[in-house]
Amino acid sequence: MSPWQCPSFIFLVLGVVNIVAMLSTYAIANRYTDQPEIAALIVIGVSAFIFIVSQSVTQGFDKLAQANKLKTEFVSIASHQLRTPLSAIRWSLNLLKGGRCSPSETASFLDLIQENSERMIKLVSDLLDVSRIEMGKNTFMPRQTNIYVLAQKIVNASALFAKANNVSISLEAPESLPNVYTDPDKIFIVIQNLIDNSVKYIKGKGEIRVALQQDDGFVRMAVRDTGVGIPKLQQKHIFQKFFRSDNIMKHQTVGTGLGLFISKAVVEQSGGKIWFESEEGKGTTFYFTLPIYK
Amino acid sequence: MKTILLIEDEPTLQKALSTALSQEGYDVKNALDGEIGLRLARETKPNIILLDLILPKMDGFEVLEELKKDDSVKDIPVIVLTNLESTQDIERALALGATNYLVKANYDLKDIVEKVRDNIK
Repeated sequence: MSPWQCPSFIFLVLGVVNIVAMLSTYAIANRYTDQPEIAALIVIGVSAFIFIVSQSVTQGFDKLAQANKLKTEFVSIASHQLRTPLSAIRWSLNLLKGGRCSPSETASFLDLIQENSERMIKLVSDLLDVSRIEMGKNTFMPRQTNIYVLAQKIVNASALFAKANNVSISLEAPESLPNVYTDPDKIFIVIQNLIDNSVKYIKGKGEIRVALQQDDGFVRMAVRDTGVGIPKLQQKHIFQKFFRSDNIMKHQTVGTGLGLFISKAVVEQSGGKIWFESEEGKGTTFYFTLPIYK
Repeated sequence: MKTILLIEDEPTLQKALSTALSQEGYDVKNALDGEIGLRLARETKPNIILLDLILPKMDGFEVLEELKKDDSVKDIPVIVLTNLESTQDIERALALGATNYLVKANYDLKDIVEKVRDNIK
């Protein structure tokens, strides 16, 4: 039994309290009124009150149990996620120290060590972000931000990585676009995340189109790709912590399953919304909005 | 030459493990998901199977269950090689008929090779 589960004696205590309360209110009510209807009404009122109180007591315990379960799950998934790159590093070192690898094998195991240590660093910083978000301690400093300049910076920086993967990437925006109100450092991570996802989930040749557009009191960004798409059945889980869809696992791309969870938190903190449209095999478009700076 | 079927979806781990096992003179067959793993087990009848638990398409528990139901492959020893280590998972895998349960991050490759050598048929 988890320490937060509602102890069974509480049910007994609440039951006894309820019965005693009913009997005593009945006795008291009888003394003050001759009309049985009013006595009955008082008894019903008191029992309803006690019922609501007991309900909230047990619900409180349920909530604690739920939070505790989430925490345990988080620790177990996080440790599994950390152990995979750790095993890769440990085993690559075993092979290198064994001295039986050809020069090309040696080079590829060194690459594995590099990749996996980077993967761990990314995972640890994502985990810290997630825990800050969940504790409400995520430092968020919104200010006037030129989203076009930010997007251009990321698109330019990603172009090389994209090109190496046979992916072309473009940015479209109207001549004049108002500034938005958000934390540029945080939204930088969001845009980077969405573009990285698109590059990773395009298999073979493909393209990514980033578009900015004014939409009422908001600026909307769309990141459209011609990637593997998200299977219909899994679309509702996509913003959950650690969730990675089946078809992504099939394509074996590296990922922590935390990027979209963090992105959603950041966009919502800015007062915007994030959503997507996707068709498996055709591609995905992620959208998010940010309020215009006034 | 003895054959090992390695059912592991993580490409980096699969690469390191199969290199180490080939260096020991085993013939290593790789499967990147549970379905392929089960099919290769039936087709190639390896001398031992190394099985990860979190796998796409069909997880390691299901693969293990199917293997033990099938007379043609049920005697092949299966070493579960995973990074999950809740008592529940360990008990479940052993109850389903796994020969051994190893947590990847806790072992060097030479320890895993040794376990393979001890258990292979």
